[in-house]
Amino acid sequence: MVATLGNALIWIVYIGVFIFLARKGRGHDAALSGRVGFSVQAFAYVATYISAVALVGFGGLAHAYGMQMLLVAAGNVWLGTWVVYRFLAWPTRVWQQHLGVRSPATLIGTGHNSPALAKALALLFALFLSVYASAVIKGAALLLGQIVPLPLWSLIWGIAVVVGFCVCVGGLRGVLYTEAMQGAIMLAGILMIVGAVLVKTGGPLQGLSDLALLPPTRLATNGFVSLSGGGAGLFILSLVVVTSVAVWAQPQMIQRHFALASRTQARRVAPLAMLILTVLVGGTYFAAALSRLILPDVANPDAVMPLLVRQILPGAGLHLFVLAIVSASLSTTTALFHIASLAIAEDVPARKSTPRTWRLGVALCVLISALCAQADGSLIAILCTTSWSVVGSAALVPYIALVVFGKRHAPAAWSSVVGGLSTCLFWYLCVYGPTAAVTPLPMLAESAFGQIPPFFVGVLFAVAGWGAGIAVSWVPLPRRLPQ
Amino acid sequence: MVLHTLSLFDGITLTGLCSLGAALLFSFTRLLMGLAKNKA
Repeated sequence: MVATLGNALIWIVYIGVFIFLARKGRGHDAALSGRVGFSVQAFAYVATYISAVALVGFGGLAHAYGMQMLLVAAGNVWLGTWVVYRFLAWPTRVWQQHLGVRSPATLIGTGHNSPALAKALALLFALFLSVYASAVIKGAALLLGQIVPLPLWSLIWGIAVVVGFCVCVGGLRGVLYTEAMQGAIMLAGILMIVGAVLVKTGGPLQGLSDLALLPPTRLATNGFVSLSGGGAGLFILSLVVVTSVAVWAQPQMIQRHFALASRTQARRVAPLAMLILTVLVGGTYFAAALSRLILPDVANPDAVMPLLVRQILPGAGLHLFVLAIVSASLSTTTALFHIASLAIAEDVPARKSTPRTWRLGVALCVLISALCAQADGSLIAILCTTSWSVVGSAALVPYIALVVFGKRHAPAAWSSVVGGLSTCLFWYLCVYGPTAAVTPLPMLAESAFGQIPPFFVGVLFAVAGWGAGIAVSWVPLPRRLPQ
Repeated sequence: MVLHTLSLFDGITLTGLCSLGAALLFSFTRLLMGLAKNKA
């Protein structure tokens, strides 16, 4: 009874602090945050970056593949954070101020002198991100369902409405503050698990020595402290690139840079974000790989982390872990809702939102995400799986061309977006082995090409599209004959 | 003991582990330098 009351109190305090922090954004612009401290920005960046998929799903992969998953963590820290704050964050803020834009879609569209491109990107972001948010919400609701005795549909609606409230009331400032709180909770939860696993396995050195003695498996073909050979090893290396490079052009991450006050602040955010991310993802993958010594065989990778926590942590620890994972989901969802609402309320109509249109945009997002989370369609599953790579393939090249190289070229940007988007989607649907629904080119799908991740193909064609756009604009147009 | 444990890793996986260690060291140092600068 006392334990139940204690656990209920944890959740009540959590929701109370969440709402309090969301209200810190009241009266501020919904799209821009104003001045925010560097620590809040660092925690918010990491909390947006890391969703429950990274902690639970990839934790399960670390159990199956072993320490080679540390390469993914290292990629996330150096490519996904250090490179971003060293080369992209401040130039993005400078371009945003220079162009007077308020969202990533308009940054790219206006930057390339094409308002239509801004609208097209806004539609793409609204569609993919609100559906992607539905998958994140569903994951959080399923996890909450393990400790809260309520039907799934009510948990889905509850989470969607709470997140919608935060975005509606707090705007970007409220989102940043709530994400910072959630990042801190994630850090506490993961530190607790890492500590418990290290105690159980006799410390890191003993654990690694024991792990190295385990025989190879189908996925860890060279054992658990070496990179696998063949397809499994290539899968890990591709995961490093997809999770660390596609993040550069995710609109919810770009929007974080709009809060930077100066180049000095960007330099201060980077090390703290790297530190938090190293502990979060490095710690999770390290502990999950060592958990092989505690849980030898688990059929479903997604079940590894929950099983591990049940086995090594007491009741209150389980609640703290669920809190950490729900925080990871909520922080990602608030960021996704914010961008999708901004796209609906501002970018598509091409005018600044009013409080009424902002509320309408958020309400539409809540509705789409909650309904999609309850539907069980294969189209939704495909959109969720592909979202990260598709958005990255479409936006990466024109974004980098603008903020890093200062190139502004509407035809090149258009052909790059179309090239990246269409080939990435085509590869997912028709060629890539794990997701192909139809195979109009069986020779291609059954060859080694069928194993190339769609993000690589998308970016390659996006670069080619940029080049094609430049080349086409060099071709002189035929002169009109005088009448 | 540490060297023996590290020798169990292959080159690429060891690079991942060392990169994470380097990230911890780098971020700690930068944060401490920032704090020291603020105090000064």
